[in-house]
Amino acid sequence: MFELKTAWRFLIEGKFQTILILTGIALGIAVQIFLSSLISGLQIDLVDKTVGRSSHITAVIPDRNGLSIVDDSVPILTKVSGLAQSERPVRGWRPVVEQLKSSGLFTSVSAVVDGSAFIFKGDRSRSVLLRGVSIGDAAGIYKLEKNITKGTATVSSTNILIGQDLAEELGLSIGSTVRIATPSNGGDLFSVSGIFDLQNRTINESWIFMDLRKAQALFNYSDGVTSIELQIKNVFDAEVISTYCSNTFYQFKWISWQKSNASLLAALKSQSSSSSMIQVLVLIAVTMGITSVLAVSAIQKRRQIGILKAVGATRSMVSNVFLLMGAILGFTGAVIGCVAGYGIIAMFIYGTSIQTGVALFPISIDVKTYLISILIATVSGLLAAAIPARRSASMNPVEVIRG
Amino acid sequence: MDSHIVLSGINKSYGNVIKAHVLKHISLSIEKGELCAIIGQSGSGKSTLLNILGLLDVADSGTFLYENTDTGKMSDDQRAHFRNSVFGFIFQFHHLLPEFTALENVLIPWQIANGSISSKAKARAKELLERVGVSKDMNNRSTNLSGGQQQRVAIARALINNPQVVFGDEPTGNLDSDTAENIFELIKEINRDVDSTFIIVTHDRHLAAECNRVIEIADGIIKDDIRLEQKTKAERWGVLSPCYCRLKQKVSSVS
Ligand SMILES: Nc1ncnc2c1ncn2[C@@H]1O[C@H](COP(=O)(O)OP(=O)(O)O)[C@@H](O)[C@H]1O
Ligand SMILES: [Mg+2]
Repeated sequence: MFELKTAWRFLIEGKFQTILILTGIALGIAVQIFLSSLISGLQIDLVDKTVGRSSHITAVIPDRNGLSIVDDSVPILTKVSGLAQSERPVRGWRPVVEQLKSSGLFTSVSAVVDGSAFIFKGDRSRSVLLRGVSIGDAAGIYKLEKNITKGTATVSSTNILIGQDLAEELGLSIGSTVRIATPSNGGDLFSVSGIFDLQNRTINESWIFMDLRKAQALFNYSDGVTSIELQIKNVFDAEVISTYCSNTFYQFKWISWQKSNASLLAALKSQSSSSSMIQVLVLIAVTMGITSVLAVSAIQKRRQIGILKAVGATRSMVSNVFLLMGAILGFTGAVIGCVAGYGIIAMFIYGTSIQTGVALFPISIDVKTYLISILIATVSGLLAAAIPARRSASMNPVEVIRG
Repeated sequence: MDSHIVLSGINKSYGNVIKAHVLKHISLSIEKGELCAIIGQSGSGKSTLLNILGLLDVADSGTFLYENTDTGKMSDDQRAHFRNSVFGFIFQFHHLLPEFTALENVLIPWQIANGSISSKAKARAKELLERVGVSKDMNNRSTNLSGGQQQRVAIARALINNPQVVFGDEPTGNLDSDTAENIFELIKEINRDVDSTFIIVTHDRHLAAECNRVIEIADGIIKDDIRLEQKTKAERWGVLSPCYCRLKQKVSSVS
């Protein structure tokens, strides 16, 4: 294709100019890649820390007037479950759980009986949140395999899991015997089979995982549960899936994690918008750089353009030459920028992990980000070329031919 | 009459405030295959006329029929197409693209017409370069060629698309006289071999004397239109020599 060949030759011929602008574009894109990777890495880490070890969507019994989900200083499960006790449990939950499990939408589905209880060890006692679960299901949501610091992640009619702060307070260790009493049950003896750390002090000092049937018995719920906890693959789909579930299973009230983490979301949003701001500014700089270089080029290549027009190049051919120059600059600059950005990230990870072995900040490396950067830079190059292209295309060849 | 190129009543002015009437009601017809020279003093309007004939420029008024087609009704792109495929151009300052080699320069009009280069086109370009005597340097950048060589490449470029008309605006004007003679000889030869029309602007009367026809422009009008086919060399020079012209001017100013 003649236009492409000509664009290429024009760029090669103006080597110095071309290298200068490519360096500029590459630097801009590299900074953009690095910053957006850093910011999105931090966000993923933050979200993971916040909701990675908890329910993403929770189905609770509706119409509880006392239910408060606005206070987001306390994790949602504590709140919702804390109130569940006074409520009538749901009995027909098994088919719902089966359906949810087979829907393929969820990575974990766990039916829970929650209620307040007291734990006694010797003469000491504490108020706790008793959480009756099928341990296999709960392990999925709370990553118990990973978060058990002592003992094993098993429960039975006599074995329970407790948090590490509770264990410390009451001086409990694996095999310790405790008594747990609920308002409707005077108390049973349990032995501690595992101690967990869910990296949240409130949870670590108040939660107790117990066998589902045992908890149902302690609260006199027969086969009822108080909530269903769900995890999904992409946490940001929670709103949509929650709405979908609300329309399908309206016997429950479905609450996504976002509803109870408004301030976190606001923080993420402002972070994202500052990240987009940086990207927009970089793109404006890239576009302006390309425009100015091509404007100069259009003047330098006036003679050539005049000759091409004189020997029959049409307006669109001439403008294509400049558009292609813009696109080539944008594309090549962005590709170099992506490589450089990746290099900076790799150096950053290496540099910050030299002492600890783990990177200081988590950095997300997403191929999509790179491809989008390249695409946008190429399109910016095209746009940047529009004015020089138009001007050159409408040039009168006679002006050049006259010499 | 043969209606190859027919101009009638062509006017062209430049400038908005002070109008310079450069071509004044020019009427002219040129036959197929002619080797036609346009001569005249500098500033008389030769280039302007040639640019209009070559569809590089448009007249303010008057009609220009090419093979009975009214060129006045053509769009920008149609004129570009004509310049590319029907006409060939040789300019005074060679006007090769410095970013391309001699061979690539020759192929430019072909590529504009066809997009990509076929092996046939390449062979033709090489043949033309051979013909104009630059085949040895065809892979050199055009900036590494001498002026005469560049003009030879420009001639090859003008011929690549088999044009019906070849225009030259002082094609030898920028060359030393020996080289100029060589180049003009080459143009004459090619004109004999192909059946294209050649319209060449020159201020060199010696060269004009070698053509079939000489049109002299003065002050925007056709002052003389001389057919030389039947004339001997001496007769031609008799008609065209500057002394003769001065004499003629004197006579006309006296009378
Ligand atoms: N673009 C232009 N603007 C103003 N005047 C012009 C322009 N082009 C040519 N002229 C004027 O038109 C006249 C004829 O020019 P030209 O055709 O180039 O003459 P020649 O080729 O015979 O030397 C000259 O006086 C020149 O100054
Ligand atoms: Mg001239």
